[in-house]
Amino acid sequence: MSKTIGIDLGTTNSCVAVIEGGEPVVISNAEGARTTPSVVAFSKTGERMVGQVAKRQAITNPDRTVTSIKREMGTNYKVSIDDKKYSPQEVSAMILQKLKSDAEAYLGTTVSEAVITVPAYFTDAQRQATKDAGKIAGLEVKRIINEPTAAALSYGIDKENDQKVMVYDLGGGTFDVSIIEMGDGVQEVLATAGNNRLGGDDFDQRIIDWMASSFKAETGVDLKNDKMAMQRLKEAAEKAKIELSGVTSTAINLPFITADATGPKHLDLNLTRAKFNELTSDLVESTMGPVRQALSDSGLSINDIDKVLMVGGSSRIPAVQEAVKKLIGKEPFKGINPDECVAIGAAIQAGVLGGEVEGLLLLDVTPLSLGVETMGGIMTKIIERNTTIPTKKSQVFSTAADGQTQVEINVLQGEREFARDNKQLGLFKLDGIAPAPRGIPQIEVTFDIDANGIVNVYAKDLGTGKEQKITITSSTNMSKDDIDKAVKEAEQFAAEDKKRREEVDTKNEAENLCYAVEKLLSENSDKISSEDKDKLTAEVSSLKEIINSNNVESMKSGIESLQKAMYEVSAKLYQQSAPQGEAANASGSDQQNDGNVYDADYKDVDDKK
Amino acid sequence: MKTEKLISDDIQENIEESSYQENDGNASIETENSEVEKLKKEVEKQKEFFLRTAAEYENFRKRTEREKISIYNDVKASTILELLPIADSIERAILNLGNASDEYKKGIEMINEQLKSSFKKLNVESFGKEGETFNPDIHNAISHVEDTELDDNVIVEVFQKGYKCNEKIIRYAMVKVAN
Repeated sequence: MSKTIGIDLGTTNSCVAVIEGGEPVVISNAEGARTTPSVVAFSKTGERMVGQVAKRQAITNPDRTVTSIKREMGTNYKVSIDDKKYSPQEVSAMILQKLKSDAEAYLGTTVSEAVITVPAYFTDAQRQATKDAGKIAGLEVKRIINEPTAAALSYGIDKENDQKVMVYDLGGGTFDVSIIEMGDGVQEVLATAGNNRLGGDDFDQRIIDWMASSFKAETGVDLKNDKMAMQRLKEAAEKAKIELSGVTSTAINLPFITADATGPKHLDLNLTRAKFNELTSDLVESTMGPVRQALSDSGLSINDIDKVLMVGGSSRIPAVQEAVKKLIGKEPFKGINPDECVAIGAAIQAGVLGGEVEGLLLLDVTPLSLGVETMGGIMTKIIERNTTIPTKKSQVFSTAADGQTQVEINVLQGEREFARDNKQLGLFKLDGIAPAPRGIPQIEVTFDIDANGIVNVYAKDLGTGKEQKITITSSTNMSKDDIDKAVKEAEQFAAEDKKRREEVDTKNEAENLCYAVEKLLSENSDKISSEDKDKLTAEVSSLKEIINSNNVESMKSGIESLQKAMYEVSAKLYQQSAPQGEAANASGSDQQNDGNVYDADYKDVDDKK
Repeated sequence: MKTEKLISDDIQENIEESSYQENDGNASIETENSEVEKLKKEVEKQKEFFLRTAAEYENFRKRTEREKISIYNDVKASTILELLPIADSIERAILNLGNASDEYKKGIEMINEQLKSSFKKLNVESFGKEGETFNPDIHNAISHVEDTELDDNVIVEVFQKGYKCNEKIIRYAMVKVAN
């Protein structure tokens, strides 16, 4: 079962993505990187290298290393390596083959189909060459799509109304701007412009020059002839550029960058975003010319542009985004990794062609949590929000009172801690429970949601096998706004709810303890001294009073004091029974089960006011 | 004869009746057949979808397992990568101690030893030496020199040491290569 992959075959870097589980995923290459340099090389022994490894040896082997082959696509240019000649298609195919095998390693299956992107300005010959490259690489190219169109697809713009979109793509070594029209079945390129020798490396170079000249001014030492120092500057420049997209100032710290007769020298500079903007303002400005050009070629005015998308790593530079915003008057769209969004768009197109996007979108999630009301009005969640459906989950509960013969199942939807703050989806009763002390009956509640979002809730008395159920069909027909509101409210009231929840939990704990002590007293009335009996009875009634006061702190201390008293008495009971041997132990085992086994108990239906 | 005729009439009728039934039957069989075909196709489609999803899930599960195993090494590598510039700087400092006091020199060297032993405990090793043959799988060439006195593809200078951990490259050695 072969998958169709989406490939962004770039001038400097390439990227591959695929639809998986209905979502686009960028595939890391064998070396663990999400993009692969579009570099091909042959070693002196004829061994082929593609990607990062080819780039690392490029300088030692320039005659056998091919970079930026995309610039030659569709021409008769031939790369001569040793005695062999390679067409641009053949070299591109080597890059595609590497991407294909990385995708295969990731997916664990063979890949034989692909969607490949090309610049919007590519001619038919260039598109055909790209298609041929795919074929040579063993890929059936299902479609060639334009890079700006792919970017728009990654943002889901094809699903919206007909609109005009500007795609600003500033990559590692090329700059393209396209104006496209996109909408219900329409995909048209209205205009393109650009500069195929402008990119992120130019921004790095400005920082390197600034560092070198600042260092010279300070120390009198020229670093430009020191290869090693220049390499350190280059790395530091790229790092500083990236950092300045997030912070407004960065420290460049290169100790022992060089040494002269007076001793070692350190490079210690601070680069602010303002200074960086000043150093690169002409580069940013030089991208505005093509933007204006594309606008006038398309015959549109600035007001006709509905959206601006930023693509390519260098579109992260704040000054670039500012300049685009200033010219177009609209906040550019961000959010999807600009290095990856073209490949992601290609993968989405591939998924549509393979019938995958459509097929898998059926898998829905529960927008809000589902659960039941338990003792103290608490909402006990059984299925958490964002669980992928279909799904089924059970939990066992018990009764809250002695001899309780029916429980009420209040089915709830929402994120709040208390039943009353959530939406009631349904209510039903399970009766015929065999009378037993509280906490003994086992009632299994099962939530079963099918693929259509229909919820079946079953309540089963595990003792008698008696079962009741309710079917709820309306759990998913909430609007997005309602869902957002419910989630937001839960966050807003989280602290308050937590406090109230603690109150109820403490109260439940106190009530359970009172019950356990009373039971201990009644079952062992002949073994407990009247002194102890009075003490425990007094403790119980005082704790009951405290319970009514609703004060958490005093409830907690009341629980502690009653527990202490109870442990003292039960310790005495064990001392009495120990000499009597095994028979006594067996009869005593009943009492040990009286603790609060279940974390949540149903409140008694009959107690409801 | 009369009886005979009656019988044959009956037979005729029976035949006619049964042939009508057959016609009716054919029609309903046809619709049933097309219904069966439709359902068969539907089942095929659903089966295909199920198999696809099951296969995808199985591959996803295997991959997640692999990723879980590699995540520890990946995190370790990226953490160590951030510390390597400090290791480089200490080594540079040692080369530039000049006329510092012996005690001071010793102190700096001890710091370096400390770091080295920490790396060793973490299974982190350095690599890249002058005179080795250049190998793009572990070395990153940033400079090239033609020198007839030197062998082909030989490393003449190491600008920055490489580091690896359990055979995973954390940083490629940055080198200058001859010829």
